[in-house]
Amino acid sequence: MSVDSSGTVQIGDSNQITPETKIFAIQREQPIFKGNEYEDLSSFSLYSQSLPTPLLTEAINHVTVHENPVIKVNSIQVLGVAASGVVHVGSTRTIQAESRVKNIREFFTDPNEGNE
Amino acid sequence: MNYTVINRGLSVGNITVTAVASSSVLLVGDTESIACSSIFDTPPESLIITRPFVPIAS
Repeated sequence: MSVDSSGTVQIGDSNQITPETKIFAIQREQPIFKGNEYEDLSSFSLYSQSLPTPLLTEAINHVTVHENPVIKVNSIQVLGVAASGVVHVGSTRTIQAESRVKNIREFFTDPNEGNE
Repeated sequence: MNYTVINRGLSVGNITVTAVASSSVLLVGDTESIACSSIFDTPPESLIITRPFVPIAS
């Protein structure tokens, strides 16, 4: 398991997990980058707009009885944990995950010309 | 809604996952509430086709 860019591996219980990711990817046919493309992201509403969260309209009373609170894991193989990914062995109370990804691709010739 | 969980031991053999990325969670265990929201944006105007330009040697 290799853990990169704010990935987390937690063995044991936790109370709250709130991973948040903002990704801005520019792919160019000729990879020449000035290096300041990511500075002004305010023009993209994607990073500021609020995301809809699921509504809970029903009262749920939740009871957990731990007759045997043991968690046994033989092996977990994960090639990569990146971009606020979480591998969590144990219990938690709430998970509130958010990810915002924007891709911009710049070509010289239209790649879709061939297969229309 | 009444919701009762009785844990009588949780044992896992092998888990093989290629990647856990962009705010995703591989959870082995209990939780009470999960709220995952994501937004992925590649609109047509993000596909930009321009004539090749020669960068000026700066």
